[in-house]
Amino acid sequence: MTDPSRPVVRVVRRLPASREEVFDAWLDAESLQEWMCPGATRTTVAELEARVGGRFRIVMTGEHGDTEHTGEYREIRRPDRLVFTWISTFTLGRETLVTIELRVAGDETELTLTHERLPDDDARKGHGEGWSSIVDKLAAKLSH
Amino acid sequence: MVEYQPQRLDRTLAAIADPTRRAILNRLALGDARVTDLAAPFEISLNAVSKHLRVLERAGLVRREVRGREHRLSLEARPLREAGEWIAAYEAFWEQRLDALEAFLRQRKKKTRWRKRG
Repeated sequence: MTDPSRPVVRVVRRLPASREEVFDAWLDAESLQEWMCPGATRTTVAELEARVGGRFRIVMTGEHGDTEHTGEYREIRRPDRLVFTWISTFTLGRETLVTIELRVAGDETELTLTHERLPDDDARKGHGEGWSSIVDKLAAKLSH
Repeated sequence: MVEYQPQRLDRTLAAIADPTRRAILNRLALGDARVTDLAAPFEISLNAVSKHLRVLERAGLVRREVRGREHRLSLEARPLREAGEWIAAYEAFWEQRLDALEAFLRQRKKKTRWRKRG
């Protein structure tokens, strides 16, 4: 479980494949190239070492130049859990953490993706209500 | 995707990680207040409230205006919007990738079936 006070992006999706198939799509350079960077004119997986401590590097070439995503595999537990760090132009070089969890859902697979910023000490002390709901509520209130 | 200043965002996130500070922000979202107004609903000292307020001020979430002996506090919305936008931007990013993953898996399934039939 993630700490509810931490900033979290969570996306849940049902996919028409077995857990093994879904899991492998994340760790296979050829598959990743197919789906990881839609909209890019060209995607190259420059590096992918599928072991704990191994790294990946995905470079996508789009209209506005190259975007690079890199990270390190932290946990590889086929077929139900994959954890890796995620650093990209969009995180401004900061290390973030992505967790993929796979559950059997009939003959399909339910994928839960959690993307979180790694906490600093102050944030780690916090408890209580989930934070994204607070941000949403306040932002909504304030945008009027 | 919009790019953010990570240090400022970290300060915002650390500031709102505390339940008392979130309650203070919620109170200020309803309107400006004095320090004593803010302390009233909590079972903590004025001093403790002041400490929380300093964290919120440093994060740029609260603005203090001094009028004579009275300190009026008001909410600054912008850093919170940025934090919300970070989440929204990455949500869209992953939704898009998972759409593509889904399409990729469907495509492959179709091919496999075809091969089996043939």
